[in-house]
Amino acid sequence: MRRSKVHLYLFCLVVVVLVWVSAGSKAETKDERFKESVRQAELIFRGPVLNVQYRNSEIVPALDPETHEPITDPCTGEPVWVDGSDLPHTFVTYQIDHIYKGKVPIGSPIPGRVTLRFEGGLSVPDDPNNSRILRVSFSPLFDVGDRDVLLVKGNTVVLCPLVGVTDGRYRLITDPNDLIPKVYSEYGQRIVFWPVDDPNLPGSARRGPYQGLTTVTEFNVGPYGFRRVRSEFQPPANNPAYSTHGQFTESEFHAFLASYVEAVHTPQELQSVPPIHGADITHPFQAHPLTPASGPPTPDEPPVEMERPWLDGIPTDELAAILEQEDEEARLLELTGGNPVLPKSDCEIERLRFGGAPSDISGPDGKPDCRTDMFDFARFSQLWLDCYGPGCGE
Amino acid sequence: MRTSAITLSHQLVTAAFLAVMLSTSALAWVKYTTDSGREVERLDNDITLNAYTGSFPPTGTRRDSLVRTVNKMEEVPADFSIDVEWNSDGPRRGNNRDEIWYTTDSSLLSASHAGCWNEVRNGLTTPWHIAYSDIVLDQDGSWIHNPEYLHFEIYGGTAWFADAAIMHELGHALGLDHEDRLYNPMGNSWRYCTLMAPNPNEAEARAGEDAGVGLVSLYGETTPAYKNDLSVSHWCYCGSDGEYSEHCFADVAPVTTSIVGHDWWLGEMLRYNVYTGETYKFKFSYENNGIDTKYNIDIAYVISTNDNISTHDTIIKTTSDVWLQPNYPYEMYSEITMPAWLKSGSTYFLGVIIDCNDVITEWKETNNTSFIPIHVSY
Repeated sequence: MRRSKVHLYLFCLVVVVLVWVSAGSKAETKDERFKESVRQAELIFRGPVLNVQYRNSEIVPALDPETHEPITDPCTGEPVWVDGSDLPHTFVTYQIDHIYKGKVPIGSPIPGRVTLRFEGGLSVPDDPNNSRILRVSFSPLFDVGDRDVLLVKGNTVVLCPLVGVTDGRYRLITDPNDLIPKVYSEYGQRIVFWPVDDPNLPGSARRGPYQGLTTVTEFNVGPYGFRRVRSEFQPPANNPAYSTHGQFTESEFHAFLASYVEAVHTPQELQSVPPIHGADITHPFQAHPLTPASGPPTPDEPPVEMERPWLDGIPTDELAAILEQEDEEARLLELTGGNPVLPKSDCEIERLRFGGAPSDISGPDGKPDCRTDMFDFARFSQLWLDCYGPGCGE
Repeated sequence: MRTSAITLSHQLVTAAFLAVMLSTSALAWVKYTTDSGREVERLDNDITLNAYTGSFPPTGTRRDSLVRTVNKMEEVPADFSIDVEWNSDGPRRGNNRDEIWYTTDSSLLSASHAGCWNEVRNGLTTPWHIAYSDIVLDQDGSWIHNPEYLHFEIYGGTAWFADAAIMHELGHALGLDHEDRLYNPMGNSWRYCTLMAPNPNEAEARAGEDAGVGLVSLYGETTPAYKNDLSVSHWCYCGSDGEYSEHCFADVAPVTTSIVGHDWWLGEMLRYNVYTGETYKFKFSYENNGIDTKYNIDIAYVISTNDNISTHDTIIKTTSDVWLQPNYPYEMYSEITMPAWLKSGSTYFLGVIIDCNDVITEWKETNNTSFIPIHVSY
């Protein structure tokens, strides 16, 4: 694919991936997520990208629910389409070199290949004077020649058919420092081996430190080249444990993943995994709409008070004093509008409640003191000397 | 280390931090530019966000959540505006309009629960730019649209803070990408929130320091009304999870004891076991969300009987040698000795108040406190 010399800006469809955290260690969650990803995948394979093509989804007219007639926009008179119409999609065709889990996909015109469909990409036909690109960051970007291990699920069904979206792609890239093929995340983080306590597992795979690789940061969408620019900021001393665990080489990851798949599945489970369906760019398709939800939302829950059982054993008088102080604090916070610096004196409280006298602009401490006296006059005089005449202070 | 003091006897960790800071670039967000260096952004800084009335009915709290979040995004000192319009037209991707809606087709989102579709275009006379954005949220998600933090899953509840998700997606709609290297809303947005006064049970989803700097870079500075704001949180950066930053509850480290035990008290909010008379290091995240660097910031540490933190509580330590530059969140340990009058077996709240003498004029004063629960051991 020809790469334009002009780096063009494109922007992202971005998806927030909810990070589930239970009441426990986050480290356990990462390893559990990896295990669950392998178990959920319908196909895990390794291979190079042979082709990257684009096609827009079909235009589906919106129909009136009662008359079933096509709807037109009352303002423009233009027909209205359902959501998902005419959206660019990317078709990525892989050569399957090795299957770790699953069976040979069906629907591929050439055996031993699979085409995956991702929402996003270049709108076709492309007009260089009016190009349109839908960039979907949860859909990884592919170039011909990329070599990956992919965890696939829901091809042609979901918007990005990788388990955990970008987490489901493991890039096989030759490290320019030592020319050894190694494993990286979609964003260029080293995939490192991580030991686990479970004796039934050969370990786990986690994301380690970032390594700037042009193979990762530069990519094409059609004839246009792009770059994801990451500043040079280095976080202070984070994840130091990563340095003690090695990054997977390609061959190490191959052996690890093969044994891992067997460790988390029974032979019967592996045998029963149905083959996935490859995508066919020659066939028109409809993108699934993200149907707007209507109707009243579920009512929010009532207020929750923090339980404080440690107050139960406190003597009554002492508890009363605590509660009274808390009530006073709450009243003062209401008065200050939430400013935690609460008034100390009656004058400050009075000023907050009723406002200060216009003449009360100073006091012994340089602050208004609810009196109008020589302190205010002195301050007034100072201001007069500092600034007088038309336009002063503008 | 943002301190002007020569002696750093109780902040050695942060001294090392300072050394790292001085040697690195100040900016940590991720964005795209053209090869000529032109930052690609919206051609029009004024965005009209069409909120589908089906998803945001007139009654209920969803509208409050959206408006509140948009208002907080606009507090960033960058020159853009977002106007929300309630629109009954069925939204859809690809209709040349900025929109937000909830969808029942959540299974299509590939295990994600919210998304922002940005379409970028170029033209004969216009450079590459963000043409429009569509923000879609999962209707079936365990959202809560009021900011009572005890409902949040991270605080022991069962709900996800909708404001946090919307704030994250608005960041994308304005041009920010994911960030995994520091405490920020473009990473793990669920754990990027500040607890607010005067209602101690309310949380706030903010754009914050890092995203704010990024948006100022894209859109320029705004009017002087939003120049200064400091904030503090008990969520801190603790690593990266793919392209997202990870945030963990504040850490407490021992100084005069060997270890500090804790229990998972409310969700991920830890409650640390302390002894009277012993000294510990308490860690918080401090942010300068404004434009100007602030020097000699007054910080007070208090003991409170509840999660309402203010100068009404018992102040046990103050410091005024901290400065905050608006580049990235500053995580700092502070050594604090537990007073002898704390009752064994009780739980207190070690609170922090930034700008405790109210010297700095901020556009928001209600995000200046945070706390770490402590349990006084026998």
